[in-house]
Amino acid sequence: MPKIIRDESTTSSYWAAVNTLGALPDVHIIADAPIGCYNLVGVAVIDYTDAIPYLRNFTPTDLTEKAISSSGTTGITKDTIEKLIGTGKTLIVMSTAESEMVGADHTQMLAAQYPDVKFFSSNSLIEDEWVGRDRVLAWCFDNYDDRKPASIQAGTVSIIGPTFGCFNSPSDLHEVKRLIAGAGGRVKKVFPMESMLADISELKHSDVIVVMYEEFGKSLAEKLGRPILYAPFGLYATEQFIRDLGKLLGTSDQAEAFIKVEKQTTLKLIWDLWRGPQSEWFPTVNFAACASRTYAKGLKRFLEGELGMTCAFSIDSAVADNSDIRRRLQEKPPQVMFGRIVDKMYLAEVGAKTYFVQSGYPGPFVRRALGTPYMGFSGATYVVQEIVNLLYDVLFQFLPSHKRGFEFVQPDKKFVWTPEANNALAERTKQAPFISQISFSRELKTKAELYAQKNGLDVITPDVLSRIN
Amino acid sequence: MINDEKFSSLFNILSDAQKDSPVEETNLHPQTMCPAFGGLRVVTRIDGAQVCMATDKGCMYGLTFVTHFYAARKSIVSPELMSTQLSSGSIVPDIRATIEEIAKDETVRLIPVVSLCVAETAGLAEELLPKKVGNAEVVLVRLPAYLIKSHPEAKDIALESLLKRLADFSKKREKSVLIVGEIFPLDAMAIGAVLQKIGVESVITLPSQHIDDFREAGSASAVAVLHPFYELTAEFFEKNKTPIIGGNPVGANSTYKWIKDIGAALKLDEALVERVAQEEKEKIKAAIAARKSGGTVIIAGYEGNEFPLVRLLLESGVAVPYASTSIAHTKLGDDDHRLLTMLGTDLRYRKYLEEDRRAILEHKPDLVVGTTSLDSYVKELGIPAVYYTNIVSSRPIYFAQGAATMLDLIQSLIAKRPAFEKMKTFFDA
Repeated sequence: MPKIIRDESTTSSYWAAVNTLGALPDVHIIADAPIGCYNLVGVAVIDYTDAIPYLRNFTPTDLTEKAISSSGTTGITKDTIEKLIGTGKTLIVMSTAESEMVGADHTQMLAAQYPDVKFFSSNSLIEDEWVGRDRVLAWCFDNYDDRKPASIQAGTVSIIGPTFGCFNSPSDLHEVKRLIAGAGGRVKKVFPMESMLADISELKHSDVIVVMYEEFGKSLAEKLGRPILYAPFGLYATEQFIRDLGKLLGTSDQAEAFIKVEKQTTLKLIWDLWRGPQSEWFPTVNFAACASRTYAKGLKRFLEGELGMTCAFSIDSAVADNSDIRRRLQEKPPQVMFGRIVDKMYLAEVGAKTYFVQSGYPGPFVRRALGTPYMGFSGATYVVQEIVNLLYDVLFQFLPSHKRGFEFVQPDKKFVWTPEANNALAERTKQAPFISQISFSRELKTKAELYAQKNGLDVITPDVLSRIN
Repeated sequence: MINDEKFSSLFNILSDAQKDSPVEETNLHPQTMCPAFGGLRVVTRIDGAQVCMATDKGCMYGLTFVTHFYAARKSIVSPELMSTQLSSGSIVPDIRATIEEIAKDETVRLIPVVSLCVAETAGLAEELLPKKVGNAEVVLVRLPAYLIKSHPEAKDIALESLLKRLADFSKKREKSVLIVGEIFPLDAMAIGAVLQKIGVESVITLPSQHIDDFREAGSASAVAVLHPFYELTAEFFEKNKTPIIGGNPVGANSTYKWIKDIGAALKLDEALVERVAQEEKEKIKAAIAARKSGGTVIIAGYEGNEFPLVRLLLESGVAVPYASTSIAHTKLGDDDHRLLTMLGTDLRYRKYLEEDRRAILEHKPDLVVGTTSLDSYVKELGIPAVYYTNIVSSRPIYFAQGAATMLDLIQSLIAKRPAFEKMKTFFDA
């Protein structure tokens, strides 16, 4: 039996390479790609995830049948390079699943004819996007670092941070920068987002390296030979992160003072909610998550481990079997789902009343405003606030309301109930649970009279009752 | 606010800056969605269809993403197709096993096997796939992006693939029409109303959400192909001796001709057809006359059905010096091509982003109805621009109501220039 994939939710290393190198404005990517691999990555999807109208530093060779069946892709690759070589950008040619299918590797051609243009083999028929991001970042260092010795600038911190396609990354990055500054550090570079390719040489001069995601960035970080910290999720990990960073930077006093102020400011909401009635609901909140590994692990750690909510499951989207997720969501829909569009779809298939909180890709969803972090202290506060508001909404939905078009029996109208109808009403009432028999009987009576009113009847017979469900 | 003189000078500054850029002089970026998406839009929207996709991880991710956004909220299922499977040659048995698995769901009536670049390169022989499993027809739909140049043309391929399997030509119905082309629901209702008036007894539209419409398509006594890229579909019906009617009811003269052509193809009551055709023509003329206006608009979408809108705009007095699309020049689009070329519109097929940009600089339009990439560039110039796919395709264009809606839309967009200029100025500073 082959491995059957439902709704592929993790993309390939080719996408990773475009999303990573495309974030560097001094790079121009040439993808050895058919038109579709250009459009989906660089125009269609990036517009709905990162709100980038289209990736300007990205051009396909436009692989066609001729290149695939006979001529190979070298000619069109050279043509594309020739058209772009005057732009002053660092040109990088990369393979795609399709060019790999026809075995197109331009390393030697480029070395011989365009020594300034490098070939990145995206290895798209093997690696997923997270492995791909990790590898292309390390590749940037191997190929573009200036090889000068490191001269450490005390107090500086560089972040190996988001690429395009990293859910909610602007808010998280903003928070990580805030934590670094609070701990007494100075942010030197954020790579790749917010940097040039040429900045890769600057990273090794940083005092400390912060890697934002567990999924990628580690290989590059380890090449830099500096102490590495990972961006934190939840209260305790964030406190530890600030403390560790203070120690590494020699700014422990500032870090401790910052932690103290944070508890009185950013985090005060959590302490107030914890002391209030809201936190008493937390153990009754049943949630599930399927998102990138950092998010899935972080949400579980914070919501279940620290706040005491009940976690149905929290799965790394890259290894999730969506058929299994679908089955679990449909058998027992959680109260809250932190997920992707596919989870939203599976819940909709059974009309589940789950509150869906988009927390990962795929799915058209913009998270560019800076006020929605999941990471750090601000993230903890934001996520808790969202959950509390959602619980308020659960209550709101539960309360009775005066609906428009409310039907009622005219107060002066008197209906005659035949003895048979009364018996039938009594019989049906007996089937209801004892505790609710009075209200059940009243409701059924009202329904019958409403039916009679609508149909101009004055007498309620068993026949009328039988028409009421 | 930028006055007209400054407005024109903007283009000059930009043109000068771009004279130094070799990239603008050459064509690098073809404009289309991934072609395969067009086919997926057709097959995923059918009730009871469960797609089995044959492709690699990255491709499946991207196409699933756009399908869930723009086609159907339905799962797409695929056997894993990566290096391991490709080198072991297990692709056919893997697809067969996946089809079997899908068919276990008794509600599935159609399994389109959508074969994309990687699977097509590896080779996927149709005869090795089953024709029917459980309650489901299994239909191979080949959609390699390297072979198909635009997503509208992939719609045609998908439609033809389904019709070849499903269309039943054994029972012909007199006075029945098959309408081919994705249209806005109000347009479909308008078409239905007019056809009923001239004596048409039944209408089927494709692509449809109902599999039975594909079966019954063969019963039609004429096929009206509204969009010019349904060439394979048209050829298929011609082979099966069903006459094809081209054109569409956009603008006064074309609408008149379209109604008359349908009447003639179905041998309907000539006097009645003439009367209805005249009526519709007059209504459109009146709608257009009430909206006579000027301005310069460039239409540069990639849906393959842009040129009728150009015709309508020209009828209303709007100048359209340039229009482009993603599809090739086809026989079905020949009438529009001849007319628009004669009227002086520079038409481009299989267009590139750079071509469209050069046209913007040359013609200095008041409004651009384009692709997302082109529009972002145009908005940077402070000119109103909208995405053809979202803004035009979601409104009626046929008959008088369509003419009124479209012309009102275009004029309201042209009038938005101050907002576009102000935003540009704000972000320039």
